[in-house]
Amino acid sequence: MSDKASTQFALRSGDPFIWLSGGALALILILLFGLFGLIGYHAAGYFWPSQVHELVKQDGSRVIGEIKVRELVPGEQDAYRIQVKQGNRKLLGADFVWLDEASVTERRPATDVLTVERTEWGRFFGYLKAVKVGDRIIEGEPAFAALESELERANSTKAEIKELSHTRLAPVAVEKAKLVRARKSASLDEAKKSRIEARLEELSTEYTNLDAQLKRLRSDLNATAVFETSSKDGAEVPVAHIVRWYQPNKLGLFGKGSVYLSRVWEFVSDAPRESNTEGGVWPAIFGTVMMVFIMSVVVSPLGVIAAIYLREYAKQGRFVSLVRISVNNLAGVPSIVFGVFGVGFFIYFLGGNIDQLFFSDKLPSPTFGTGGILWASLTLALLTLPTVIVSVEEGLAAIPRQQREAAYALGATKFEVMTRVVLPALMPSMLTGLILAIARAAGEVAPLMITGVVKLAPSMPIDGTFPFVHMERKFMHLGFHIYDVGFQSPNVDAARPMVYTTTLLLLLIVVSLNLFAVYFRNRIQKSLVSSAV
Amino acid sequence: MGQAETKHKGNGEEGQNPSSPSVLSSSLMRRLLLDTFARYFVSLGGYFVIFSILAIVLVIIVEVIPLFSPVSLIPDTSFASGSEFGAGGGMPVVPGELNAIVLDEYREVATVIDAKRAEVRSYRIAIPGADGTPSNIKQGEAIQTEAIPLLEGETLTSVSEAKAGNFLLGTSRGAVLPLSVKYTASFSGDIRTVTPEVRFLERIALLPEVPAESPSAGTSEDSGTSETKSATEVEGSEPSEAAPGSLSQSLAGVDVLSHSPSREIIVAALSSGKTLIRSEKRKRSLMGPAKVSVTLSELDLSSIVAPISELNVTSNGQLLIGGSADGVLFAADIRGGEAGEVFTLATGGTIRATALLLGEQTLVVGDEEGNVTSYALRRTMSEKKVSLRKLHSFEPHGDAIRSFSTSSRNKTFTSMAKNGELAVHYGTSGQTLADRALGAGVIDHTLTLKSDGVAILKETGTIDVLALDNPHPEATFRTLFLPVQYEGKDESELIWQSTGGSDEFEPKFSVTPLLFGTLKGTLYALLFSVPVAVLAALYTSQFMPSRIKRIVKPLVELMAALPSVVIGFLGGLWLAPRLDGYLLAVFLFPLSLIVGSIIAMSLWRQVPSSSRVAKWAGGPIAFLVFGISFGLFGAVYLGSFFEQLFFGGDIQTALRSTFGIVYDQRNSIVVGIAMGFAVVPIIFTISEDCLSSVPKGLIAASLALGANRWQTALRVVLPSASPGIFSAVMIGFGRAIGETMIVLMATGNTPLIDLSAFNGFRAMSANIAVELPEAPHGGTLYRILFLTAFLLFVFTFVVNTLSESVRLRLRKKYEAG
Repeated sequence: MSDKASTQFALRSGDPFIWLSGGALALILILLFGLFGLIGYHAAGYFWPSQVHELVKQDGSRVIGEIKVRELVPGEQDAYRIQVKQGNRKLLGADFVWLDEASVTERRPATDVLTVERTEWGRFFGYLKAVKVGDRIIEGEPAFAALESELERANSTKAEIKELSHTRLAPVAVEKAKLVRARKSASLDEAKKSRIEARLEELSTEYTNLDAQLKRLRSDLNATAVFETSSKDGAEVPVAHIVRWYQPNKLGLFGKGSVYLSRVWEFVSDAPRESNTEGGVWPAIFGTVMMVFIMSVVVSPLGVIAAIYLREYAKQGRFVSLVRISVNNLAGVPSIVFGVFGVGFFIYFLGGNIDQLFFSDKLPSPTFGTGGILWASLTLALLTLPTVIVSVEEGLAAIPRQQREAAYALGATKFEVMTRVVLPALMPSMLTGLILAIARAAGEVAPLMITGVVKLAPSMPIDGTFPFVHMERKFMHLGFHIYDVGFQSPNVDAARPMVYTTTLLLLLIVVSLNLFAVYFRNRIQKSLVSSAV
Repeated sequence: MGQAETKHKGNGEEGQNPSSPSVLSSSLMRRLLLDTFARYFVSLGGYFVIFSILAIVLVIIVEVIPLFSPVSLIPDTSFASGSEFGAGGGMPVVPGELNAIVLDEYREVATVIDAKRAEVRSYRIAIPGADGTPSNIKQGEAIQTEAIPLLEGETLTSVSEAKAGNFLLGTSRGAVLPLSVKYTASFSGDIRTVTPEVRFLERIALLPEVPAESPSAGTSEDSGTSETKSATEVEGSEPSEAAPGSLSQSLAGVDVLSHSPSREIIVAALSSGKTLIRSEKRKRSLMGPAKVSVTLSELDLSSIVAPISELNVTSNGQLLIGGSADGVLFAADIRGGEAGEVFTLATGGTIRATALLLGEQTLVVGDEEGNVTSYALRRTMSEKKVSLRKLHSFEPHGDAIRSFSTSSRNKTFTSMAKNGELAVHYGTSGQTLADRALGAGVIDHTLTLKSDGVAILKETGTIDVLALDNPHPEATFRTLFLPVQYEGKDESELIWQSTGGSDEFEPKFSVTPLLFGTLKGTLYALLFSVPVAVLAALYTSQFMPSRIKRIVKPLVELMAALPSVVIGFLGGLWLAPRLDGYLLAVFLFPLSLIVGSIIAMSLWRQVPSSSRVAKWAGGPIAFLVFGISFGLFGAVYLGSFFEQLFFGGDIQTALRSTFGIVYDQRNSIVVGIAMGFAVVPIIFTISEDCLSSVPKGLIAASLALGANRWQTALRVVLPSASPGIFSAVMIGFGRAIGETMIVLMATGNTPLIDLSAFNGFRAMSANIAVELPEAPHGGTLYRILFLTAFLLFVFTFVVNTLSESVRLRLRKKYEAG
């Protein structure tokens, strides 16, 4: 066959078009895996300690830092430039710097350099020269050991400070504020008043004592580490600001691995630092989980009851099919519309009235009349209601008639049929519905933005102060964290790896939840097939 | 709940004690009771859910309705003050305009300037016992009377009114009397008492005083007098010491008067025909009294023949706007006490009243025929030039305009005509919102401080108070959807700009750009996703081995579950900056798809049919993934190559310079791809279901008739499933319309009306997410955002219902066939 003939044959057979349509599918798959790969690639490497280089420029000045990007200089043919994360923001002004490769005369790994992660001002790169503790100066090799021991001491002191201020000082301050408010109210007899005064006096002295203790502890955090950096003068870093330090170029695989793990642990268990661009996302994880939990508690009984009503109790007819269409349509209503409903109904109507009734002493500053975790959860419950209803209805439809009829034949009431026959068989589809609802809720951001999510919540919805669960509090959320850090952050370059990592975490949660749902659904189908046989 | 209660022993007892009927019946009763209870409980739950679905629509509608509820202007109270105003001896021709009325913010006390009796009187006007007012007051009781300190034989000739009760009274002897009316509210418990405080400050002689020998000069001469707007607040004014001798010293009454709030600038039209600008400068010194220097200058209005009838000074004292009896409007920059070039504009009828709306960029003018017109005020700071341009004509009155009153909250103003017609207008939209006839004999009217009421003073001495309910004048159908001429713009435009820097900002609530943005984003998303998804569905349903299909379909469904915030983040932060460099590659993608699939096909053909690879069911799709990846890389490479070749490596600059196209980094292409990515799985899944359900018989028949597989798929399968594909596209459309995070993150969110693919837009959904947290509860913006949410709801509901019914019909057709 000649080439021409084969082309003609190919065209006539229509195969190229079939392959083209397959190409569309391939494109979808490439996009899907590309997305996962992209996020995985950017996120997984973030915690791995990278090499620190020392670059010498033509003018003799040095730049110490991690090389992040190498790319063509815009508008040039073969000139490259590199982006260096030089850290030391307090000293140098910017975290990142672009260098033309042509201007760099020497590039060497900085063997002894330390990477220091700090609670303030971001990363720090430098050579450790000495550790100062009060008047004592430890130089040379012992300085590393001293740095380690001082860091330990600082950490324990910080823990003590935290303990003291949270569990002892805070209650005193809270009680004081309460009493001061109580003193103002007009309906007080003299005896009560003097009692309050006396207690206030006590509290004041206690407060002063605790404050003095705190001051003493704080003055204990006196160690500083002295570094040589790219700038001539060197720099001092208070040990209390150090989160973690290591010598990246000296670390072996094991050492790097342990740094990696410790940073991953910090990511999932710690609070964010540096306006959310560093540290962890624990409050966001907690907020997401708690919101999803409240939502599940609300949506599962409602969804199941509604589905049972629609399929088992309601008279099948035009009305029910209308309701069913509405429920289906509700699934297609944009999530932001649910958010708007949440604002109008939950926050301003319900919340406003609750404030009027129970929290009128705090008005005009709202308690429930503003966004909060309860309202956000209820909004999402409404949003995911159709998912649960549809899923449970499918499950109900799949339960064979005969099972029910057998139960009726044995004299069971409808209620007994429901609880003994239908509900147990319904379990997997209820679970599927709930998991799908959770997966949807975990990834939903738009309605939360207007019903109570914040970029940084000062306190968690559950904590040690009475009544322990604070449904009215604003909360953090993984999805919103992505939006906020990626788009509202003042330091986008520094924040980007954090966004990728958070994205990976969210993606893992959502995808695994969905896989669970698929698994359960398959099991239902299988069990139905086997019961039919 | 119910489950716990089911652990009753009904069945067990029945089995054990069949002989005891009492136990049986009681347990049966319990079971039946439980059953009934459960029935009610479940029904209740069902109704609750149905109700809550309805509630979503209801709550949104309830918040939107006030936006369109008509403005109400209803009589509240009316009482006779007991003293007639009306024309009297020695009064000017238009007597009423000398009398002015002000109201406290609680609408409790009205203060009236009575020119005839030279008195300032305050009345209680509140309804006794109503909402915080004491019940023992007497309505209409004059609670304070203060005489206006005029000289012997002197009469009032003009009044300049300012916001919050600051007046300047002009006299027949060329002097002005500053007057301030303040109200203080004191509370004892829930009872509120408002006390008026009327204070005259030291009189200012515009020209040196002439002995009171010839007093009649001022009063006999006359013509249109009026009051003008402006505001005052000053701590006692020192007497003027300097009066330049260059100016005419003839005795002249003050016919028209206007002043700046600080009273540092006073402009007066005198009966001698001169118009004076008095500018006072104070230098505060640390020691001793403030130094005051006064300059007087004359405004050259030689081009205007007829007497001045109206004067306005802006609150910063920099601009003077006025009108004359022959219908000429004029404006001048009077910074530094000297007038710059005087701008004049002939309008027609005799100008009877003027007022500056909030923000002082719009002038409303009322004339003898009852026309109400607004003019835009423009100024060139550097050249001391001012100009006026006509904006809107409002609904005319049947008689000459008497007075205007402007709101201090928004661009609302009221106009009152001689025949007693009162109308409420909104300056931005040029619309008249409400009107009411009150009968002839009206003198003056004023809007309350909160713009929630109007007080009208009548010649008979009656004071009428009307309640005005006008919460959302900014939102009418016209302002929401049609172009509006805004302040400072040259023509009518569609603009969304909800908040500005100051209280005087004119909100621009055109929903059209947002609607446009929503549809634009959807269009680009569908442009990308529909062909890809439908082709992929066709392939999956018709040509893919079912073993592979069972893996691929859930994968694509998983794609639908990806949080949109993730897609939006990648679109905005990863794709957008990269697209910058590889713009041409995007346009090569369709080509790369074709090339890639042809490469894959050719490679597949090279595989010997006996090899294990050829028997592998996933072979074609694996080869395709490889081929398309190759094609995409080729497109990226070629794209940058062509860009170097044709555009010198910078296509954005080339676009701007040759085609005038502005390129935004976060543009519609980015949104199209990102949102397309979110929509693809939806369209794919539903189309695939429909394509798969096309009866096998049809396909077999087509193949038997000699059509090849592609012809069958394209001409038989696709048309039969087309309603299903239509419904899939509709559902995808619905999803794209409401998508929030992707458009929020992947566009610049600028509310433009421009179909260009290279710039962004602002969608309704993203707009809600951004602006609702900042919108005050119950405000106009809040309700408009609810309106956009309602539009989104309606859009998606209609689209979903449509697609659902199409799908149902299709299913029935196949079931029947």
